[in-house]
Amino acid sequence: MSDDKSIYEQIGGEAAMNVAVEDFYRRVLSDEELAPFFDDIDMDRQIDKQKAFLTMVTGGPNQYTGRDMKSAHAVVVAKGATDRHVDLVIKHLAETLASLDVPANLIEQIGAVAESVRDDVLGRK
Amino acid sequence: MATVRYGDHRVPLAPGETVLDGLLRAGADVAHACRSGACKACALQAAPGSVPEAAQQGLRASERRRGVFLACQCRPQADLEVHAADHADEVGAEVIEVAPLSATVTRLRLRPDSPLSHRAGQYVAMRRADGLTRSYSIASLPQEPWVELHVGLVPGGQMSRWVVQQARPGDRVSLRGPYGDCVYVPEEPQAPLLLVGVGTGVAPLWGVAREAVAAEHRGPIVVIEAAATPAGLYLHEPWRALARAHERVELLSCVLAGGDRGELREAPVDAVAGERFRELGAPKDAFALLCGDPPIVHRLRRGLFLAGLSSRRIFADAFVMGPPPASREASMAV
Ligand SMILES: Cc1cc2nc3c(=O)[nH]c(=O)nc-3n(C[C@H](O)[C@H](O)[C@H](O)COP(=O)(O)OP(=O)(O)OC[C@H]3O[C@@H](n4cnc5c(N)ncnc54)[C@H](O)[C@@H]3O)c2cc1C
Ligand code: HEM
Repeated sequence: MSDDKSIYEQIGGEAAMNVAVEDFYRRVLSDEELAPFFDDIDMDRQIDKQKAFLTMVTGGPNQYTGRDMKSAHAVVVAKGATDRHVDLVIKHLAETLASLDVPANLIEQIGAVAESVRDDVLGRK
Repeated sequence: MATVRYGDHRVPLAPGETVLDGLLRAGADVAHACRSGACKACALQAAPGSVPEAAQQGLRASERRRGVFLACQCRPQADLEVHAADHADEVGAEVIEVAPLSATVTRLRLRPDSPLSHRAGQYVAMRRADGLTRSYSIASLPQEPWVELHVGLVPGGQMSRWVVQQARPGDRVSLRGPYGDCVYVPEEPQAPLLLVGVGTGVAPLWGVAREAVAAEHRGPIVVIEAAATPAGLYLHEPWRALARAHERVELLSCVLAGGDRGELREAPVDAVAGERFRELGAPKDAFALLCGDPPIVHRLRRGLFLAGLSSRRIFADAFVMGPPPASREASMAV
């Protein structure tokens, strides 16, 4: 694969993203430690937002118009989210990408982006 | 801080406050019901392009172009001048029949002044002469000579009590819409269909199922009707007749209490739907249409999604009512 393509293009563009986001969200909802945080969340909207976010961090075409990570997660922090939960989210994301045969070096890059918002998500910045 | 102008009202909005909440706080008279973007009752109008995109979601393209928006979904960033929505898309209609389908559900048949071009399964915002507006799903097919709604009596409910106890042939209402995407997809005649209705949630599915049958749908059509008790399965006999007449149609009936005899199952509807979906082999090409009570629709949708169905193949209409008066304060604080 050539390096001048975005990660988004390398993993298969929008079609791959649709599959990835659903698979990811399914893993999160099936995780007993994470599921309670999503009890009252509108599934379709959340899938759309996650897709926009993943598209953005992988260099795809969509504009991410969602909220910043800190305010989006204020409620989750109030409900007791910790580093443990962020670890789980990043783990599920990596497993999703692995199940779609995304090469390990790309999974690592995407993981690093997710890692970079950890402090925002947990309201530490 | 954005200020909303509406007639004589000038209302500075609190951070995050919606136009609807602000106007109601100031004592303005704005029709509204669900406060969650579902029912479309609180449509207002502003200069085209001046409201956030989120405030126009689910409206018809023609309405969006004219600047119609939902006050309950509108958190403007800048000052906004709004007015009552013009009724360019509204159709007057005459009540032609009011018939009880059960002790608590009434069938209302309306004759629109001009054809309402709708698809089976969509819903309309119905406005009474005094402005009271509520949404109801359409149970009839486009080619039928009336628009049929099934209205369930809600204790203390303003519109439903009027329909069930007072409406008479000759009364006039207005219809706006149609809205919603809980419809039959003719492009995929082989797809298994899972039509799940809770309470009056079977109303739109009554149209969808008949459309699918008329289109000679080739995949299985699984209808699941659900209610708290057998008395709530107000469309049970028509469903049975449809299932008897058409091999493709399978009817499952579930209640929370008073079932477990004969063909009624006493089980939560999301468990029954999930089980049937898995028995069918969890087909990825299935479509699920889920209508009725919001928390149950939410559980159904999540359950089918977790069982492997793509969220893009799940269509849901949650029949969201307004919050009970006691919790209105609380919901405004969010
Ligand atoms: C997209 C959509 C489609 C809909 N389709 C239909 C349909 O096909 N058929 C249908 O009958 N309805 C349907 N509804 C619901 C309908 O729009 C009205 O909300 C409903 O008829 C109640 O209106 P009302 O004026 O009678 O009650 P309101 O005067 O609005 O009062 C309702 C009040 O009762 C409270 N309440 C709710 N449930 C109960 C309960 N079980 N016991 C006591 N209080 C309760 C509510 O919190 C609210 O405060 C739909 C709603 C939406 C959003
Ligand atoms: C690196 C980690 C994470 C990333 C990149 C991420 C990303 C996102 C994004 C893009 C949104 C949408 C924001 C919007 O509303 O516009 C969102 C919302 C949300 N996230 Fe996360 N998230 C992360 C971790 C977590 C964790 C650990 C939890 C729970 C424990 C969580 C729970 C939620 C919930 C509940 C919402 C919905 C909020 C709402 O709509 O009210 N997230 N997240």
